[in-house]
Amino acid sequence: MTNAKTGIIAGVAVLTLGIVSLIISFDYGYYSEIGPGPGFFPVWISGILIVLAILYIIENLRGKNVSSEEWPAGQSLKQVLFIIMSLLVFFVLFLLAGYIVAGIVFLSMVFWKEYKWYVAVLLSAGITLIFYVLFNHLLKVHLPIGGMLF
Amino acid sequence: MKQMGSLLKKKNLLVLISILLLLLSACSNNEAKGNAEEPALDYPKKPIQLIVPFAAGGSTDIGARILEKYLPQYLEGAKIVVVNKPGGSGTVALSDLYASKADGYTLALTTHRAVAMQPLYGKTKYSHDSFQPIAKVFGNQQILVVRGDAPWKTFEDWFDYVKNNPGQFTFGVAGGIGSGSHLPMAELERLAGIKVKPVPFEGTSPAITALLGGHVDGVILQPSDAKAMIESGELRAIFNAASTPVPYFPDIPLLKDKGYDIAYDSNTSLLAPKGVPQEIIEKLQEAVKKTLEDPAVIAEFEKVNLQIQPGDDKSVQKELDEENRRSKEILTELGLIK
Amino acid sequence: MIDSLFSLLEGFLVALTWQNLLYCFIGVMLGMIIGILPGLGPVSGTALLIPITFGMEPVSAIIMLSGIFYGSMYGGTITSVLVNVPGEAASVITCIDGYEMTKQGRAGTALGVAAIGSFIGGIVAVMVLTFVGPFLSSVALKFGPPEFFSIMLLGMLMIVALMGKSLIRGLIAAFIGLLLSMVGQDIVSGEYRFTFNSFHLMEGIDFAVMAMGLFGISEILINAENPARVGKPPKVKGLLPRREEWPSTLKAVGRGTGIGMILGLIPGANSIIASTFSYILEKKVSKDPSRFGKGAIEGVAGPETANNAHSGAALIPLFSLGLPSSPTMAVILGAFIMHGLTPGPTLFTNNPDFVWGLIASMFIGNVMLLILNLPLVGMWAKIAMVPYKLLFPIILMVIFLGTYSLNGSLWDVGMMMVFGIIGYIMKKLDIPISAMIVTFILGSQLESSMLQSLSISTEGFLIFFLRPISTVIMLITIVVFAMSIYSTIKNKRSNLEADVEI
Repeated sequence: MTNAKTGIIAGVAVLTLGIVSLIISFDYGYYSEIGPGPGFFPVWISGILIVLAILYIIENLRGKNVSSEEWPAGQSLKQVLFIIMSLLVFFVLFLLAGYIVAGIVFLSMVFWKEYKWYVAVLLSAGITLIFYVLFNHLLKVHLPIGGMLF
Repeated sequence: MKQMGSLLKKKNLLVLISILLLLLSACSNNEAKGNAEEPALDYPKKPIQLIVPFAAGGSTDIGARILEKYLPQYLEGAKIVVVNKPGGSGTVALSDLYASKADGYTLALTTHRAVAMQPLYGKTKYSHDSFQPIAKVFGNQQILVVRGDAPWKTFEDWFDYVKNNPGQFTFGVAGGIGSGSHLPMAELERLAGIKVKPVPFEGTSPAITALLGGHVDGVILQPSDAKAMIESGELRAIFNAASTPVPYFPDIPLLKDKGYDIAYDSNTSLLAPKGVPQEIIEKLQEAVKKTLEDPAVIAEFEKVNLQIQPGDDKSVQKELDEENRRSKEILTELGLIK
Repeated sequence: MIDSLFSLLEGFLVALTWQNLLYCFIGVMLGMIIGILPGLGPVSGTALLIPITFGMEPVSAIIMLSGIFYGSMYGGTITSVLVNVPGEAASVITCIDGYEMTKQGRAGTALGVAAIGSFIGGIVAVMVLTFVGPFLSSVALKFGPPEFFSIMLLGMLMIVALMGKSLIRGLIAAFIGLLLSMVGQDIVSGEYRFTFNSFHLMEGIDFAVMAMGLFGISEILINAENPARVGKPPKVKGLLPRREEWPSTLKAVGRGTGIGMILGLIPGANSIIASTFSYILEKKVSKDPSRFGKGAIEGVAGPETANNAHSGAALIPLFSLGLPSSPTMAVILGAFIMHGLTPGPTLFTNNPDFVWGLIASMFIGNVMLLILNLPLVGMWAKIAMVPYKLLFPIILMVIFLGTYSLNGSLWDVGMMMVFGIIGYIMKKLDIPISAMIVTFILGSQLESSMLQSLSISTEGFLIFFLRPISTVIMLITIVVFAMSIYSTIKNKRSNLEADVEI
């Protein structure tokens, strides 16, 4: 996929955002008898965003001002997706099984390739517990140990 | 503000740091010396969050800070944490209170207006009878102030000016259009046939800033918020929109004495969400009552120009109902609500 | 003038008691810790600790609270520089070049310069303002809603115009930031906007949630593409700038002090405006603007100085007028009143020992921060030496837990992760993230000042051009905007402007 194409997709996304927020904004009073109402700003912001999105799409269609950043492919893409996925695993396990399990699994996942398996697990358990003590005991921020599962 | 509201929930961190500090400093003399009233009731066993619907430094906030300091002496084991949640004329904070757990660990010290009047706009989930009042704590008035160098010396001067120059006089209202500080003037406009321009501000401080800078001509505020500035002559009071005179400024003319039937008091009470166990309510009422009788507390309230006005839950609810009824009439007449 | 000097000396007598020194030290230390923790910033820090000051003497209490305030301002810098996560709003700008310096192995220098700049900015602001502040603050009152609106508009536009490769992309980021700032309850009318009936959105989006995602997570995703590129960080090369960098660094510190001081005097001007203007000024006066965004030392020195000078100066309107100029100041004002002190014109005459004691303690507090930090900087900088493969999972974990600790809610964590992915996509599309976060921070104030201006005005939008200060700022804004459009049309932008990739 070329960068211009991704630019167009992003432009359409921003355009959609602008249109949706413009529609929502009309629900808030645009003008009250005393002055501009709560809808005044959102309407203008959404409106300008729509114009900007269209200009942005046009720029990309003409191939002008296209981002020079490369989108990741192959191995790089896999690595980015892997981090996003491991964060999601952390999130879901945190909800289901609490912090300790989630933390160890998450860290082991990201350490797996870099360290021998037992180093990875020990390192993960160590770091997870240090943070547990830091947050629960020093900062008194309660991190759940159990989750929805047990 | 957003950041603050959410972060303040980290009361646990606060507890930790306070313990650290108590260890570090030998000079702290603020240990709670409570006397066990009902040993059977295991309350409070964790910090009580006292929500203040307005920014730090305002009347409600200062009153809450005094309670924060003294209430624990009459409520054994209590630790009170004041949380400021300004915005939406108090509705942000009260919506939070409404949604909070009815376990006695979330209370709010709030003006009656935020409870009785704001729901009339139909944007809040709560209404004027959605809460469990605990006790009335203090009362205040609302006055119009102008700069000390303004040409209007008396109510009559000012009144002649606004009568002859419709739409020229701008005044800051803390909390926005249609809020409690807007209503007295709105009603005066209607009764006296004058026209003035309200300018919404987030709070009293920014409104006073704008007044001192000459960006607005007046501000409606509570006299305690501007006492020092009125005494030093930087600001001048034009009228008092309450039913009672200001104790320390008895000369500010009451609107009702000028022939306009306007009486907007600013009373402040302690509320809990509905459903808090009766024993906890009673324990809190007892503690508040004793706190407000403590000479040290009376002195503190006097020092910050707030007028203690004790009252029980029933009288608070009665005032809330009454204010709700009255505001509804006025707002409807003004066309602000349908 | 001489009187003030004597009063100041007496103030030192108050501040130099062992008790007050201890409180000052505790305040500064706590402040630093609060600043380093992701999520906690100066406002929450001071507010959290107010109740602890109950049993103290008023002077000690205020000395400690102010210590927390400027300590946390510095602490926020540390995470911005080391891991690209701004600890508080004013450090957003520091991330741009500070983090680049860390990548080049110059974390120590970035932190050292920030410490020195903060020290000079803080001290000079307090010193100058002690003598001329009370007079200046009444002049600063001339800043009303129209002026606020114009200066915020200018700040936002400058960020957009000078920071991205494309005006349109910058504006898109800015307007998305503005739109996000509308989420939650409107201060003026009480209306809930864009909350989709979700209770979580009623209070709006938390700055910390957004900053941790947009800056922290997205950076790690970018690095993940090419782990070899990150590799082993180069050795930390000392804490001080290179010899040839000193003159430009000190000039940046000087300019930063001036900008911070002026904006601090104006009640209501946010400290991020000070650091933004300072950054833009440094880039404009630089002989080689292309270095900005690639680890320019002035890009750290200027804004950091400006934000500390701003915090020092912000105390002056509080003392002399009783008007808090920022949310943190509002919290400190509450503490004043609680301790029976009425800030305002009478404070200097009624409680001179208090005022001068506090001013003296700010000197001492700033010295303490510097002494504490120069050795600590070496320690902080070592964090940047930890192998990346070990460091990044820990950063992810701290961001995750820091977000969770804000409200104990996974909702915030989820939102933070979404912002992380958005930040990554924005980097790929070359849409400037900092433009989005600056407009997000200033959005609600921009809106309320505009509504106030229009309520005051009898000529509608013309009010912005009928008042001298606001007219000048608006004209500058229009010129900047016109120039940006011109260079966009001519498409010279990418040659003319050095590009910052954030």
